[in-house]
Amino acid sequence: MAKITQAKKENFLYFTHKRNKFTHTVTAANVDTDFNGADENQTFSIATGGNGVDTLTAGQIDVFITHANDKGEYTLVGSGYNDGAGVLVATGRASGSAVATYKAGERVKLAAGSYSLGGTRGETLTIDKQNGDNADTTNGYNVVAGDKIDVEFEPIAGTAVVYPADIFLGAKGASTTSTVLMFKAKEGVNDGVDTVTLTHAATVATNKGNMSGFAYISDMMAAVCEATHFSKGDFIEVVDMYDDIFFGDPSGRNAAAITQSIIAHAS
Amino acid sequence: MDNFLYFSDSGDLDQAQDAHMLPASAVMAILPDDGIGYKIHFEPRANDGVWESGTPAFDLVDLTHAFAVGNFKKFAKATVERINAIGPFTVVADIEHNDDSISIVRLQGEGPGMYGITEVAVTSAD
Repeated sequence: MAKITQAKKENFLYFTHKRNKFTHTVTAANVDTDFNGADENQTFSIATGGNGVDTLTAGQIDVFITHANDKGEYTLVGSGYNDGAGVLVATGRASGSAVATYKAGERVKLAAGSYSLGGTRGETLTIDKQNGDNADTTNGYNVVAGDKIDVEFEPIAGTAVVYPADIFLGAKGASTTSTVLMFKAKEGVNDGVDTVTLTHAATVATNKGNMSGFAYISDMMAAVCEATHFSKGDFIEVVDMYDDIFFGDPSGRNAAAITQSIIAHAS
Repeated sequence: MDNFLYFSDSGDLDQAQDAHMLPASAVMAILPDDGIGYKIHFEPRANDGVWESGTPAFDLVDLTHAFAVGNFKKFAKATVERINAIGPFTVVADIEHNDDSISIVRLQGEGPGMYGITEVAVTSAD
């Protein structure tokens, strides 16, 4: 009888920085139009969930507009969104007008040059208008009340990582509310250690009584690293700040009240 | 028995860099690269002592895909599924044999086209 070969299976541990998705329905206040004044800007606060200590940059997000209504040429978009003959670049649908038109419910990704982030940590999103003062006639995009704006987080190097469980070296407490998870360096450098530093509650209530935050996280790390009948060769969201999944629990329960996750790589 | 992972780029497989095979057990990390790519770090095939040497030593598979944002998790999940496949030989991305550049890396139950790997670049530590 042929022998069935079985490769080693192990759990893979997924971590992200603190970043939140942002969805906002445009109100009249966002698009109050004074083509001679500063409030011509289309400005939105995306700091609802906070970005931790990270400074968000425009290159780390994508911005999408979902249209509330059919839009014709009265709603102006930059030339970058149409081919000059009324053909919508995003979908190739002919509009029959000189400016691309959109159907209600159509979702369009804004050109990278059409928005910027300001504020202390990039928490203020400004979308350029296609017309008026400081117009961006190429990438600008005029939104109207009722449009939905989605800001999606772009994981880039250093803001998310997956480690095999056997790379995990252990944990150490930095304070009652800070725990450092240590992994062998992804670059294999001598003595190099990659770290994920978690900020969390000092005390966690469990069905066994109160535990320190460090003890709780250590206990959970041991559990997610262990291949069992229930988790063998799994992809486990250990600290997924983006989708709010902690230690593989899809219910979103965050017992340790983790508020921050900082990934640092040895180099 | 290990599970060996296969990667190929386009290029007729007539150059050393066109195709690579690495053991799943050598994976050290999976990371986002930028908006359209992610990287897999492996212990080096040069067998020069990955964590003993004084300088960084790893083989790197850099995959470029057609999707922009919010997809690192999706690609990482699919890759982990391939890493943990029964093996002993598992194709992760084979651009050479997919003329439409649709990679066969995909989660179980998802059809082709969900993942569009467009480029595979492998860098060896040696």
